Amino acid sequence: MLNRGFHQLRYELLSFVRDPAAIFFTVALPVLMFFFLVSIIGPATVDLRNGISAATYYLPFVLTLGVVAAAFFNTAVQVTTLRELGVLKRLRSTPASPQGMVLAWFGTSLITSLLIVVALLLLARLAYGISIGAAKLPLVALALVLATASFTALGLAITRLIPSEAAALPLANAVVLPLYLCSGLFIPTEEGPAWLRGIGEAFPIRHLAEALLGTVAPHQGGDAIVHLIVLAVWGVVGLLLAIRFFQWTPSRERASAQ
Amino acid sequence: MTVRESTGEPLIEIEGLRKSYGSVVAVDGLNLSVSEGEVYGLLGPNGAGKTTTFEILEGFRKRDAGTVRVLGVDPDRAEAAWRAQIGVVFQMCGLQPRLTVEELLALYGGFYPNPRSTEETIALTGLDEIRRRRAQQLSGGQQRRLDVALALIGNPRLLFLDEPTTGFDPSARRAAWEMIRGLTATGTTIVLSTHYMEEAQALCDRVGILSGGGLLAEGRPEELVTGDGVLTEVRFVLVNGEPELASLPTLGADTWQSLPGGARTHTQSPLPLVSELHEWALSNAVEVGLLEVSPPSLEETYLGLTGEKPDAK
Repeated sequence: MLNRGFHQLRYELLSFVRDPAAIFFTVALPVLMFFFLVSIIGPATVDLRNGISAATYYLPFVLTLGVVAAAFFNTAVQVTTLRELGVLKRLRSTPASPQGMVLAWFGTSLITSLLIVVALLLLARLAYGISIGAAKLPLVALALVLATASFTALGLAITRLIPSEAAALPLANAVVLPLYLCSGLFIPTEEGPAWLRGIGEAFPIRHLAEALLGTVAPHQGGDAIVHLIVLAVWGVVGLLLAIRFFQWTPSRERASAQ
Repeated sequence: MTVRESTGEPLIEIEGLRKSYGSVVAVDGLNLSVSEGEVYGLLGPNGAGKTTTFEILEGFRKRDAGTVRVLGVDPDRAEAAWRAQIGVVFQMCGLQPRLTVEELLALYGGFYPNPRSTEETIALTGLDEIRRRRAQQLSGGQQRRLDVALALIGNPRLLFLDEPTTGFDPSARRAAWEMIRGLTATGTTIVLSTHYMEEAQALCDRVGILSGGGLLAEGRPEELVTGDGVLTEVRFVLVNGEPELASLPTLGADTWQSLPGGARTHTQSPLPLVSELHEWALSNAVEVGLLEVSPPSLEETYLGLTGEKPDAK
């Protein structure tokens, strides 16, 4: 299965690197977001979070943005496109294993995540002098890999709700943008209504951001183990939903009289 | 074409197959069997149930009723080992747009336990000149050949071709036929669907005519065109003038239809009719410049069976 996964991953990556515009925008968006957020706030500090600098406050959040883009958006759009083209149907007619396909998609997400994370950490270090201590690196790596797996699984699960290639991005945005706000990714939610924070707490985005915040700002972000468990639970839920509801055939062919 | 003798082992067995979509019945009590080594053609108009039947055989749709065995297995419970023995060319099915022909063959070949070599597959499907081209740069006909190549890369025992040449121009169709004939020489059992009678006649050992979800007739192409109720066409053209249709002999024939300077009809007994026609020409003092007696084509048989009107030629 692992061999099959690597075999397919090679060609997934080949397709991926031949779409330079997509790579550029996937990587550039979180980097630009980071740059602009820090520029707007300038040298001011975020008092709600113990007076940490804006750059320190936003680094974990743009990292989260990047992982969600690499794993959730890319997977949802890519897999919906393959399904609507008929590629998934063709794959299903071969002995290729679904587990191998999931591994290949996870691998693509992971490599994209890695590109984004490296770009963001370089910018943070060179422009704002923020770095993650060596002691915290294993936790950061674990959180990023786990989150990439979970968001890939959720991206696979949501394809069931996406009727066409064109609907993939708007639909994924409709789910994720409100969650970014509820999770305090752009504006701290500490003084917001409790229900809004409650929504943020229930979903995995905030937990990834908080787990990462704890690695750059001391005494921030709460208990990392809790965050990782929530991420893992969402990943398992996503995977189970994907296994139960995944569609191999294009929408136009389903339940039609031919 | 040469007629291959099948080894007899049934690779596909269908009994009483039924499938409806809501109130629309797509397949209605279909019985069919295909033996190893055969080229079987399912011929029928759009909406006859060809694609539904194929998708049930390939394990993509669940049936409402009936028994289906493909390679001895119910396709609903098919596993990877079963999929490794079949090749499928869907009617419409995309490819990863940014991969080349060679890369796609390597990718798909890697899924199978005993793949055909890339070189042999490329040679069989005539893809050599475009092997380094990306899928998104291929013409419709080239993509279709790649479809077939990807279905063959696993070295299948049984190959499904769902309308392999629909939308082709005549020369591309002939090239595709050559390719399919090449495959039959390798012993692969082929089930194809088509709505071109010519195609069924050119490629198939046996043809089933499907309409309204069931078989109207089944047999070797040459058997189908010599059965009961099959009519031979007689046509003639005069050297000068137009024949008076009402005066023509109607021995065992349909009514005559007028052609420019002549007429045509269909009959079950062409010889007596031609003899009567000879008498008619002598007694009316007209000279017949062209006389044609053509055997019925599978097309006419098919149109007669499915109740469609033949195209005026």
